[in-house]
Amino acid sequence: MKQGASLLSYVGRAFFIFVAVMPFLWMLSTSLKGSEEALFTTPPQWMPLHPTWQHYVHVWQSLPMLQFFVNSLVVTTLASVGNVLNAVLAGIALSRFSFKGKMLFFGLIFATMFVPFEVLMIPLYKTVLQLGLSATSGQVPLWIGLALPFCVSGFGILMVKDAVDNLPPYYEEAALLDGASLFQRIFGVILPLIQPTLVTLTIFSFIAVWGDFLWASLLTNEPHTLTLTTGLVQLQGQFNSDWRQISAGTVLMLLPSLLFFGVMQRYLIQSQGGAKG
Amino acid sequence: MFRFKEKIAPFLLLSLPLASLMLVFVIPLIQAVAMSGLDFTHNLYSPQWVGLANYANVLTSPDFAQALWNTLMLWVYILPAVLIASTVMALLFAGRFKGVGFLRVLVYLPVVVSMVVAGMLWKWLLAGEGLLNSGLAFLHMPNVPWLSAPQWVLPAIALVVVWKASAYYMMMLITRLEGIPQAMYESAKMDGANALQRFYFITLPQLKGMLALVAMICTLGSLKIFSEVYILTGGGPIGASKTLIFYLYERAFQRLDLGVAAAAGLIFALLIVMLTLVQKYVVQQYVSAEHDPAKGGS
Repeated sequence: MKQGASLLSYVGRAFFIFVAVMPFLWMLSTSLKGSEEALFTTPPQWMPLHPTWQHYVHVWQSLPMLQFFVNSLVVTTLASVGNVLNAVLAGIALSRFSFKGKMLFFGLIFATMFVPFEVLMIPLYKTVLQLGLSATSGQVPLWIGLALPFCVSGFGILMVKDAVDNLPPYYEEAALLDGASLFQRIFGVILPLIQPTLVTLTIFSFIAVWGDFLWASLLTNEPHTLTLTTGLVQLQGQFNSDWRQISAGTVLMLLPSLLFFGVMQRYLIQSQGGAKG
Repeated sequence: MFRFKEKIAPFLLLSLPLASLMLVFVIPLIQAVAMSGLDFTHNLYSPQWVGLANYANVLTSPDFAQALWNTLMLWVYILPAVLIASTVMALLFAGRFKGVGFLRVLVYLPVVVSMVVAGMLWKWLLAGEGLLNSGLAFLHMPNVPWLSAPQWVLPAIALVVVWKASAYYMMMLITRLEGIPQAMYESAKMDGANALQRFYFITLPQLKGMLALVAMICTLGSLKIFSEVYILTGGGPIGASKTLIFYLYERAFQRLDLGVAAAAGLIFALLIVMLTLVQKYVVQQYVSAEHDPAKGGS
């Protein structure tokens, strides 16, 4: 690849970084502007003339932000744990055993990748209501109901199967000679060896569930039931299109994602190409 | 390949995944098929069997036709923009240069936030009093009603999707770019090929397989656009930004016309299956043509 620091590539990088970051900075800037300050100016005013925290204070007092955060965190954790557990169990079974109906199971997995969630959503919604996994039964059932559709994925199962397929058999043969049980082989040998795949799968499943809006919008409406995504949409109605307040709320709600990304970024960016490619 | 000999073990391992798949996939799918033959509009709690009438209803509905057209137009805007943007970004951010890690993090930020956050950020940028119109006014250009004029709303939504997704595809392309042997470029240089020729004759053919994969993921994503529309426009103005999923959502959860929604969903699923098969075929053609070592093996 062409190396070298030509002017063109500096300008190009600066342009794309500006485009990527600009919406965040504009939101931050708006959230800090005083109530008397005009939002529409020519040229655009980037630095707030009378910076204030008042919108953050107001948003924090009028919406249960911490509750949104807890709801999102619990639901995302439940779904990710379920997804990884199911992927590990099924992935190992598919990679290490031959059994009756294996092809049928593969067919099922491919079918899950073809049928979009939107098709299953309506019957699933009825089922979840019938099982009592909604807000009317309490917070814990609601969490389970919100996590349920994301607790297994064909993509995850195939990812683990692929990772186990690519392990050299020597380790397990050695463990087998030492008289290790199936349980010991899985936890002592296979899982430590496929750890990078498990981390990648966890991160992807975390991001997917954290960002879910469609499913959460069906099950939640009362303030204490909302997740960060559905709560964020609520901001518009709550603050009557006052963009200073909406901006403050948006900034607060995207902080956890940025924090997560800050901690995980090295791993996330490196693993992404490999996981999909 | 080495295998264990236990007879019951695989079924023990599979019990939980199989039960989960039953609950969240197999049963809902069967129910969706059953629902697509029922009419819920007269009595939500005792629907009547109407056979294929719901499918006919969907396929002849002008709303569905409009949703299909809108979705198609979004795809037409999004796909070329994503392919070009992610390729240019990959060329700019590949390789080793000072601060590459940090710069990639910055350009990757849109991928990390949820679609809802991205929608809110852009709703404010595209608003009548937003930054974009403020910039246009500064350049003495007329105000553009991005989200409230039928002719602007789809390009505006496409813009948000491209902004959110491009860096994701950029990373896929970068992994491929960094696998191209340097020697190919050096020998081309010695033969007197300029930068544009090196891109066209070396980089592009090597990227073809990955670009086909990007196109496939991007197409499937474009067909499922919903949250962006819900947040940015609510489907308006006058239905100009209603997508297929928006149509389905509206029938099911606003009109409670569950039968029509289920039928629409299954038609949608069929569309996805057909497109995926076509694209899988295309991708395989490209990949086998270039002998991509990453795609071979076990």
